[in-house]
Amino acid sequence: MKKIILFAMFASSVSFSGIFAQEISQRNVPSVILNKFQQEYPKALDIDWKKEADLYKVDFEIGSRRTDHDVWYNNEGKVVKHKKEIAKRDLPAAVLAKIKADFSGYRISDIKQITEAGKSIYTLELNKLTKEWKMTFDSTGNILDQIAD
Amino acid sequence: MKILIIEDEPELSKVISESLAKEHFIIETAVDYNTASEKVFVYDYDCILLDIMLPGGTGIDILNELKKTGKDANIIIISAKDSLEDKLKGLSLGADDYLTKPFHLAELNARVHAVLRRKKLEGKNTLEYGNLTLDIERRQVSINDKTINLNRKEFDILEYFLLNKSRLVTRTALAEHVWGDNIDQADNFDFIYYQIKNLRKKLQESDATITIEAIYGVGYKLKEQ
Amino acid sequence: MKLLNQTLRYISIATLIIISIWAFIFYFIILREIKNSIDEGLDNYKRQIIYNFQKKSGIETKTSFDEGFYTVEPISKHSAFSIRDTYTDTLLMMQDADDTSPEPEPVRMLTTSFEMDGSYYQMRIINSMVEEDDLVKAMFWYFVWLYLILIAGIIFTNNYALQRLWRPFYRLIQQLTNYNILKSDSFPEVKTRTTEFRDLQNAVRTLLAHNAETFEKQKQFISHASHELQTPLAIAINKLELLLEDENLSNKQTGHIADTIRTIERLSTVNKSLLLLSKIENKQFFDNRPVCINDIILQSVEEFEEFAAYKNVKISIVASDKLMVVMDESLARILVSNLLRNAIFHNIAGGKVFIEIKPDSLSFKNNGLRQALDSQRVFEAFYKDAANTSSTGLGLAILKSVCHLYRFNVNYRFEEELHVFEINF
Repeated sequence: MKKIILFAMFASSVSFSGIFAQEISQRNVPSVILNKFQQEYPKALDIDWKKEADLYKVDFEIGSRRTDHDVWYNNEGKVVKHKKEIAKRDLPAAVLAKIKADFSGYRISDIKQITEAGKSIYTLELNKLTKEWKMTFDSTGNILDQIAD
Repeated sequence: MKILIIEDEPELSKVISESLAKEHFIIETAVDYNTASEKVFVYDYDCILLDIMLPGGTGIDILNELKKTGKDANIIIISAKDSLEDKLKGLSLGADDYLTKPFHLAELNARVHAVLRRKKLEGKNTLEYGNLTLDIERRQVSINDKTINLNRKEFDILEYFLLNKSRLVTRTALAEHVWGDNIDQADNFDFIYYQIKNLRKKLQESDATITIEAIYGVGYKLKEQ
Repeated sequence: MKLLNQTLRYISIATLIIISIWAFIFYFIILREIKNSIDEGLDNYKRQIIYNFQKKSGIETKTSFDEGFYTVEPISKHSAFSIRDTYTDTLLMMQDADDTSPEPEPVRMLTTSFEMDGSYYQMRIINSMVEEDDLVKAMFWYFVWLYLILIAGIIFTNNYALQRLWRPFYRLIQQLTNYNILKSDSFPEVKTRTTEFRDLQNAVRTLLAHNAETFEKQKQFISHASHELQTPLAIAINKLELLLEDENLSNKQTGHIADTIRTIERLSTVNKSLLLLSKIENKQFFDNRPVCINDIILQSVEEFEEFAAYKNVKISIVASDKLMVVMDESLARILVSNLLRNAIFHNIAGGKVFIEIKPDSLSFKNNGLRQALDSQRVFEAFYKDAANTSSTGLGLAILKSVCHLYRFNVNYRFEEELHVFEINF
């Protein structure tokens, strides 16, 4: 029984993050990366470190609104990916316009900005009554992905 | 003289009967409450000896009933219970005397004679024997109308003998009568002997026609010469 | 050892053990807390230092702690990435204000590495630590104090609360000690809401009630047995008396019968005395009223006058006052006549009896044997001196019983060749 539960947990964690991730303690994060992180986000709270392949992922919150951030460092100490919660007004105008045009009357939630190699994409959820969409946009308002939820 | 003995112990009843028969009384006995109350109502007795504890009832009940009918009998309660309460209750219900078991036959004899005398000879309360007269009330003894001086114990002894004329009076019965209860001292007998000796002397000096006869090792008997 | 102290002893030992274990655990907890706290401080230092470096955009290499609390040294990139933030306990030669020369002091040291403008550095930051033996010492004394305060508190609680709690128990013991089946009218009783003590009290009361009942039954048995003996005794005596009157008996036979009667008489006397004793002990005399002892003594002396004269015993009465006692009159008579009879019978020819009446006491003094009787046993039933076999030995026991009934104090002493019996009312 226990084995089955363990297996189920294992499977769900894999499917969620897409790649194999392992929770690690801050003590096991190389000092160089840790110090870099600490200098960049001195006010970070609820810090959780994960090791994803050769990347160090840190999950934390900032500010009184507790905005959620995920930052990936490579083993050189460089930021390779940054995913953060943003407000609706922080979405690029192009994206907002596209939503207004194509998805009038939908409620926007769970907006995230993902920056990777200098480019940003945006993920969000659109709800209207029973309809629900998981959307991905680029900064110019093109729909990269649309999944019914 | 008719005497009824109400006593549930047959042996005691028998011995009392025998003793009183010697005094020429007519004796009847009852051993339980029913027989007793029947006899008491049908016949008249001069004296009734009444035991308190009886099969089928108590002597007190008989006393109560006798009192109601107004029958005139001399009643002496004989009881194993030496209780002042019972004594007072019995006496208040018309009993004339109260005797605690065990008693001496001489004592019973004396009591029976005493109660009978009290009723028959109203006013004249004297005992007479031979040429001797004993006044119970005034505690005086005279021989041929001549008063003789006796001390208190001598008087008690003489009175006791007069109530037991020609009967054997044992020294213990005498001592108990004169001293009351708890006569457990050997000295008593010497004392009794001493008193009897003095009494005899006084009787002799006054030419009494009666004499106290010693019964070897046992007691005395008052006899007319 | 008293229950209270025993409780105290167990609690003290238990407390000592618990506190010792707790002290041990507490020490490590505190030590960890201290280290955590210092480590947090070190982490903050580290951030501050690196921040400052970035602002100044220049790093001065420092290899010793002489001037500050940290060292910075450039290292290779490879070494830099192999370093994790680590906190270690170490010793460092330091000179405090109260030290004359540098001493090794325990410090907490954070080792870290960071990158700046493409170069890698290793940094070590230190903070002074409490000395562990100082901590142990301090904590030891704190716990000693804690222990002492706890014990003091327990002693106080014991003496106050427990003493209060156990009070009904001690009261019950006190009452039980004083309980006397003859004298006590009521069973021990304590007011308490404690279930255990109530149970104890009930158990004690049940036990005592049972005892009292047994005692009562025993008394009744004596009373009944004595009563039942009266009639057979009467039959025996009377039959023999009747037999004595038989003219045909020889002197020898008469003598034997007379002896038998006397023997039965003695039996009867003992029986009567036992009855009287049991009646007194059963409190069957209750006609209590003021009785003038002086009058009763005069009557009693008159009663025994001839006998005293015969024994050649002189009786003298000295009454300093009228002695009035509230009691049953017949018992008063028994009391006086027993004393007087005793004084006359055990006297010697030409002896004397002195009766002394005082406002609250009565004493009889008489000549007799020229040695003291056993004052402990003289009032016991059936006690008699070997020389006198005809006595039942119950006279003084009855006397004692009467005095007991009315809570009078009666005592015997031998004084100036006289046997003295004294009653204090």
